[in-house]
Amino acid sequence: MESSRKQRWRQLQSAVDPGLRWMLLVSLLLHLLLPILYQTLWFPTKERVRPTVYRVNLVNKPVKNPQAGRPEAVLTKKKKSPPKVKLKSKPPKPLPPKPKPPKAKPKAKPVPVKAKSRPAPKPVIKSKPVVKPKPAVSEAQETALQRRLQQLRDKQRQEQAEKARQAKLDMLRAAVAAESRQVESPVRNAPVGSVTGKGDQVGVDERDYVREFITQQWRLSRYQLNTRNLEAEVVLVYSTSGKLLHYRFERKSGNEVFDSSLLRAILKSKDLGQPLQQQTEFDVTFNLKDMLDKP
Amino acid sequence: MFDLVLQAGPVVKLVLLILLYFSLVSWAIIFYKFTVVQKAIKESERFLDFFWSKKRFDLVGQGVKEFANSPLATLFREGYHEMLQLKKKSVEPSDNGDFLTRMDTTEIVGRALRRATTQETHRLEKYLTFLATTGSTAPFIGLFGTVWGIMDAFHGIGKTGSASLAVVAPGISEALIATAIGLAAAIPAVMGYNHFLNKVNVLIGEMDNFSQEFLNIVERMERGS
Repeated sequence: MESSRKQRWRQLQSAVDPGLRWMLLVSLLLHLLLPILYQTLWFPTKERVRPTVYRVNLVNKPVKNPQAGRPEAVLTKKKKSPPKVKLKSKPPKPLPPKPKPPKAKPKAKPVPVKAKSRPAPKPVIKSKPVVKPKPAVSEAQETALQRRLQQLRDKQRQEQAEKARQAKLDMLRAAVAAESRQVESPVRNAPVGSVTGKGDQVGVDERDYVREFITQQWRLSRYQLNTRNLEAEVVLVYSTSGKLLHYRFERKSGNEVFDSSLLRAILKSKDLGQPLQQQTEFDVTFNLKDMLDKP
Repeated sequence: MFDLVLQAGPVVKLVLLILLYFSLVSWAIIFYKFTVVQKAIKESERFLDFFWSKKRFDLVGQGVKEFANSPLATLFREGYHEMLQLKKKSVEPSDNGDFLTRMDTTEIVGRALRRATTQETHRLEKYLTFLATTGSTAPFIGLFGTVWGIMDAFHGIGKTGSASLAVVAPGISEALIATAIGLAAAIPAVMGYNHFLNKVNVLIGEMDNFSQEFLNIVERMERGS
């Protein structure tokens, strides 16, 4: 009886009962099992978590260690006030003399018609037989000459049309530039950088820049593919001047259409149009869903 | 989902670890209490059948070892033991007059039964306080993690100058997972606490009833002898 009492007292005082230790083990197994079931059995078709969406503005230069900020933000610099032009009061230039109007010729005086003036008899011109001059060049040469002239005329017309088109384009560009200057950026006070940037350089992340650049060159109709869950990994080596030196597919998506479209986009992106800090190897993953969803 | 946990900040990770500990221990207590209470209820029922089927205490005393997990059997053991002690004293009374001989047997046995009841109640209620603590504090701990995570997210928004959904959503999602896990730890703990408290109260009632019955029998025996 005494031993039984002592045993009960000890059990009451102990921090962890022997039975509870086993249950702790069972609970631990349950907690480990739950995530495994979550990942495999309960949600087998769950798509993997998509990577963070990066927005890269191709205007800002790519840097190695971008700072935290917005890629599309406007790089604000202190505007230098334009040098004031001292206006010297100059005497107004004398206007060029107006050309004198040409003197009006004196009107011809009317000649009184003499009455009963007989008209002079018309001289009779005898038609002489026309003698055709012998052509200096042959018929074929003439035709060739005409054709050449026509070609020249066409060319001239095309050049004129092209000039007119260019002028129109320039005018439109100037109009767009003027309009964009008027539009105020909604993020003008935000720092330029990458959303996940941790460095201290002003600019966008090089990798994101390259991905965005290639994505912009990428052309593929969404109707050409019946799945959106495709992903390919490509290693790209760009030189310091931003030229593509080498590329290789680290992992293909397995879909011929998507892979070939990606290859075309990479080949179109031979020149980044921006110099890089150094020759860099980029390991870029292209996700079809991301690329299609891009506005 | 696991990426969210891995991407979270250190404070949120610490909060998640604390909540995981709470959940782990809570479930262990729930399982343990379930087995203990179930055994106590079943063995008590069997013991009552056994007790009323026997006419003598000594016969019950011989078979009581089979009901190790029943609180009623423990009560009987304590009371019967006390009775035997009193009987020994009454057979061999001391010359000077021991204080036990002067006291009422029923009172002494009743005291022993009350002590046993208290001891059994403590045994049955052990660890239930942890469930109550988990149920009441886990949501708040989770909420703390969420608030901290959202603070962090807003700090990031301020740093990047961007308030688009792509920037705001991951931070808030990371933060909200702390509240979700806090609730996931608290809900079973509260349910378990209420369930076991009810079962323990039922057993305490049974113990009180049994004590009264036992004392009545002792009283009758005293008066009959």
